Amino acid sequence: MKTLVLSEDAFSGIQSDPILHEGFGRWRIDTQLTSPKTHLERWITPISSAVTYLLLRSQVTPTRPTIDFDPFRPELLAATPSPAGQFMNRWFVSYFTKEASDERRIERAKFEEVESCWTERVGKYFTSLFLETRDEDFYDGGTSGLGKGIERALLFYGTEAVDALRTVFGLSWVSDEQRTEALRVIGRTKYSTSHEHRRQFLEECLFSESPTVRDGAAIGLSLLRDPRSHAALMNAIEREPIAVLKRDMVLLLPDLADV
Amino acid sequence: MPRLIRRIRKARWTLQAWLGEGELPSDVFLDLNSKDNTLSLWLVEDDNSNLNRVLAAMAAQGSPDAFDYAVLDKARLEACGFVLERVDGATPDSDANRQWHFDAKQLSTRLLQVLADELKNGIQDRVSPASVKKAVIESIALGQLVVDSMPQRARWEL
Repeated sequence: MKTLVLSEDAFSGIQSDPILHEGFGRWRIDTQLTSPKTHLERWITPISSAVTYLLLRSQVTPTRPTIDFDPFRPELLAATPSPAGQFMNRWFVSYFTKEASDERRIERAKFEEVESCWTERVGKYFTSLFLETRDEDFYDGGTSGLGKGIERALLFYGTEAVDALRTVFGLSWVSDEQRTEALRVIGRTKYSTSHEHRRQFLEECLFSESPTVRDGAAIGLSLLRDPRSHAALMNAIEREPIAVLKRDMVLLLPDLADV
Repeated sequence: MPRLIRRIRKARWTLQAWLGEGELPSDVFLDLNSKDNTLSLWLVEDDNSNLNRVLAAMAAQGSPDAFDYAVLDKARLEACGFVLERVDGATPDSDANRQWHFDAKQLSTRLLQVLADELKNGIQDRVSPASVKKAVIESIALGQLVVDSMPQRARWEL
């Protein structure tokens, strides 16, 4: 196995990232991560996590872009990583060190089993998150507990998180305040692996029955700034029955056209 | 005529079709969450010359987002019994904090109701996230906003 060495610059990026800093703080990421082979095993979890992060942030998409641990079970982080984590650790190392492909194939099969459990897990996570934040107040530009939780799930669960959010949005006890906050966060988040799913979900919400949700979706799309959503927003504007909301949506159109 | 502005979430004020004439939805009080019976307001010059700067100062306290706000007539508020006091703000623009930040103090529920009615009448067009971001970046370039004083998240997202 080759030694995996990542630059200090890469890790200073993680340190300055508010989401990652919180998540990776548990592993005390520091310059020791440029460790030689003898220390590789000790640091394998943070290293592979960091690689995941760097892939997400650098718009590079590996063949199976996903995560290497369950961030919502700290007890696993403190000790041995979950089976999924163990697999992903090995997967990332093999990805970068070109280990034997036979072993990779076997492990990929194991991964398929693990992955199916994640969708269910992230669904439970969101249900719990939305319940806990029902009484939270949201402000434009503010950092809410709900927003942080959604960002974290998007980072670690990617597209599965968007699918789970779609389900949670259908629950009757979820408030429109929460939904619109979630839509802003979905638009603001930069993780490339879930970009398409997030864009599609925002476009769907442009046609929600709730005007508050339609407003949140329009703002989310203007934060996402993907010109491909221009036509969907135009369509929503044409169909919007509330004059003031229609005008606000029109004001957001240039954000999609001028990227 | 001196005016004051307050940041709101416009959807809380304008999208409820079930409201009767002259009524306000109760969620508008989420935009009026006083602390120590005090609310933060910003003074805007008559010619709007400081509007973008004030907007950038407020926006720089958090993530880039749409910016909804409402404009209030300062003299009218004072006539209604509001105690308006110039107090330093807490944004990363120290000059703006000193010059244009006001607190509405000693607020009662009656005054909050009055304020809600005034805000409803003064709601402005939305400023888009891209325009907000542009204003913040311009304010940084002009040396008005101190980047080191901005929250880490806001710096990162810029």
